[in-house]
Amino acid sequence: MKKKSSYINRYEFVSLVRQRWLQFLILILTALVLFAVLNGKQRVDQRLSDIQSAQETVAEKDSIGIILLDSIEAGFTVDVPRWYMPDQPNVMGYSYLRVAAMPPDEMAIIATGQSDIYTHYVKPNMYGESFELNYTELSNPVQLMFGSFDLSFVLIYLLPLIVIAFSYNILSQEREQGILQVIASHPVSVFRWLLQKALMRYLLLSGILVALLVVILTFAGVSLVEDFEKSLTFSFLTLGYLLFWFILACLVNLRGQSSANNAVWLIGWWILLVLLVPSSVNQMANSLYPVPSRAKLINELRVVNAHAEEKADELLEDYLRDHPELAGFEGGSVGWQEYFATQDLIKSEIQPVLDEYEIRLKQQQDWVDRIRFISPALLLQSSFNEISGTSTRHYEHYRQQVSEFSVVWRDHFLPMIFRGEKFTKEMMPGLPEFKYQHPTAYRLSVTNTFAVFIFCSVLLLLGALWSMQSKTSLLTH
Amino acid sequence: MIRRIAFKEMKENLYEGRFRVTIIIVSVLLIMATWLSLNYFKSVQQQHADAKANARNIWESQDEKNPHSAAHYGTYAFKPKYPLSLIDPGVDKFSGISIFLEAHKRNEAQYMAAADQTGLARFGDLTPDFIMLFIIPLLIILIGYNAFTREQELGTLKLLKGQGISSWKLALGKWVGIFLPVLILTTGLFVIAFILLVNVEDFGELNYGVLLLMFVVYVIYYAVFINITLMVSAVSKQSGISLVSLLVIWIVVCLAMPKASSNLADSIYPYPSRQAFAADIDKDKKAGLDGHNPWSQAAKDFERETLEKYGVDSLSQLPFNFDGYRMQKGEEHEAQVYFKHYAELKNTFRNQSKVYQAAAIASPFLPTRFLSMALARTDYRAHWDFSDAAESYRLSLVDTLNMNLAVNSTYGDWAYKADRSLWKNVPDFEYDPPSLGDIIGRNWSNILVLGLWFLVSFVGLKILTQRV
Repeated sequence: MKKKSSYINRYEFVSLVRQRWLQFLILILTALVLFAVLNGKQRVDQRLSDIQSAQETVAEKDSIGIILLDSIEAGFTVDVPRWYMPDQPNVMGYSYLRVAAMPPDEMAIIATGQSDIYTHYVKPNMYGESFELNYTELSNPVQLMFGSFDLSFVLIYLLPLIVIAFSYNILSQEREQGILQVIASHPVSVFRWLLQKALMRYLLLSGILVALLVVILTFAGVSLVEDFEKSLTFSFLTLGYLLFWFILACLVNLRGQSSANNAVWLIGWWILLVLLVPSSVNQMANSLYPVPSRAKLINELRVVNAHAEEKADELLEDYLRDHPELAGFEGGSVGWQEYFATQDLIKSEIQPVLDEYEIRLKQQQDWVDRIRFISPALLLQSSFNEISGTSTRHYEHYRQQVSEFSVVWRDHFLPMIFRGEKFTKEMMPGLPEFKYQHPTAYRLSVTNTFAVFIFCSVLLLLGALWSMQSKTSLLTH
Repeated sequence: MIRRIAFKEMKENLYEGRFRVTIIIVSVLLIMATWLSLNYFKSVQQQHADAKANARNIWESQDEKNPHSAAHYGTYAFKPKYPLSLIDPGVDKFSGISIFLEAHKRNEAQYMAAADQTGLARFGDLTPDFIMLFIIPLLIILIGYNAFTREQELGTLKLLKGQGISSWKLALGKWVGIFLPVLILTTGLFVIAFILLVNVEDFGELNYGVLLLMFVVYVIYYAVFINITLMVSAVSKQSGISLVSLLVIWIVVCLAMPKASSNLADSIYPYPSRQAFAADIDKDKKAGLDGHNPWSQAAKDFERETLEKYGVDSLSQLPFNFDGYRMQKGEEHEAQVYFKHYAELKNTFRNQSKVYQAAAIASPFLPTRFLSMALARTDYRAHWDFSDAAESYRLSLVDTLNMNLAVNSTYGDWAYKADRSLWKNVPDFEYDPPSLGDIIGRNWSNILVLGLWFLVSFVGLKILTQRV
């Protein structure tokens, strides 16, 4: 038996080489993976260099600030207007900003995810509220609409199509050429024989793909051993997805119809699972958890602002009651206290409205997470974005961190401003710095990997049951 | 003869379960997509109308205040939603919905809908344009992939030839046989869209000509796909191979090329990051006159020039409030800075568009995609148009307010407050979308390329079917 199977494998391999399938696969996969990785790399490099040049600008400004502070502290007059003087803590808090950046994850090359929509650094200042920061990136919306030709696109969209082209006629061709009848006269089950054939092709394709991914990703500077667990999850997901489409192709072949019919069926499944289900899920998420009107928000914000400014005087009293440590210092400015008291009120009134957006988005995301099991394409997409650190959650997490940092930043200067203190050169190194915390646990990917393989096993089981019943019809169709 | 072949082709298709099932599925999808879009369109339009009225109300109900303070307070311009976005929402989801208009600053449109959605939004939406651009070409492939291969496999091709029919007539017959069902489907969709649009309350200036033109664009797109399908079917030896080759073409044309060209466009002509763009503008702004900073060198120079121009010795002798005048001149300098930087950005956008236009030579999907959204006024150009209109409104608004300050108060008088009637007298922001003539003028390259695809693919069909 063992001999027989090795014979089948060798025959299969030789015929694949003869039909130029092997050469074609290597060529097309190399081209696709290479192009996708290059695109991903370009995006990541751009992101890094944007952040770096922002850091450099800050460092430059800091060094000018230090020179100015030096001169001021030494008693020289400097030729700078009052509102640019770095010895004023409010000037520091407004103009000498820190970069709150979100550097790319190690494997960010894999999936563009939401990284083309959102910006990767902001500089929160003392006056503005974090919700006023604009996190969307300046970009040509046509590009956002078409999306990026990244590795995630190649693996989720194109790989199944390669599998379909490679195996839509894996059985039907043999029948159409009359080989199947010959095979069936031998003591080997058609299902088993088909499995061997498919397995051979699957192993071949996986081998080529994994080799290519390892070589090209390493070449692009992604260290696959750095976060071995992630690399492993990524590989398993890809291989599981590949297996899913192979098994589906075999199942469709088992229906015993013509090659062309098989192709139609397979392409139908592809459209359903890769195109229609994801977009329907998105649309359902939007209608189940609709985000309130942003246009309405704009006007609400204005009303709250106007209301808060009217009440500024009485607000101050409340504010100082809440912050007794800030009251009654000589040289402190009542104007500032009034301003920040107003800001606090605006924030407390507008926060619930803004939270509504985050809550709705989170509800959408939770719903999408729950329903993702209906299509392997959804499983892969959510995992790839998670592994790349470009998922909606990552950006939400980042916004959260910036929001916290902006409070830290403001609170660093407030007491100084209220007490009328000067900012000195010694205080420079003590300025708060933003450090992006990568979310530690990634929640979906391991489950997703299992889910993909469960998909495969269920399909395989179906196939086994089916083939037991319909051996004869396969031959005679 | 052609008619008879077409008729036979359609009858054969009709008997085939595959054809019926796919037609039904596509029709159901189209109806679903239109229904979803209609709901979305109605709600967005309502939101827009409310917000616009509200913003104006807030603007008009300002208290008496310094006109320049009112300019800082500002107002909002909301981007209108056009009726044809029902068929093709274009880039609407990825461009902001409103622009804050205030003194000293040109703001970008904010709140793109995609940012309020999960990552799945990137898979696309179930809208009529999605069905028309992606799924109907697939339908064409499914109907026609075996137009010739089937005849070959069954041996009927020889029989046909024996009857003395020319290959070209056979091809034309088959062409019509595929074209008619697709035409009926497309016409149906446009008729439904038309009925819905006429009944949508406040549907704006729906230009029926535009709808018709859009219909023509899609029909040409489908004709190109029919040509490609028949060509491949004519040269393929087996139905299976024909189908798989056509699928590969479909993927390249509809999925891979748009993405690849967008990566290319971005790598050759990259957009600046939002922060870098803002920082560059700030730098240029600081180099010139700042209306709020009378102590800068630029302000001192301006002061001197103004005094010389009016032949007076001091600012208080001027016939207007110099503060307001300087504020306005500062605004003009800033407007120029914005103009320069936005012109650069627009230039980058134009260059990127050229990359897409070049890629259109390899994909009939691209010119159709761009033409469709241009006609629906949901393309990036329309967004630019809106943004430019909002900017010129902002400048005239700020100019009115600053000059009111300059004319009605004296130098050093910061207590001046304008009457509340001023807010009412400032005209509201009204925006007229680009006319059909403008749209055609800007898209001649897409029209040309799509036309070329149509002609070349027909010629190709004639040449290739000769061998059958």
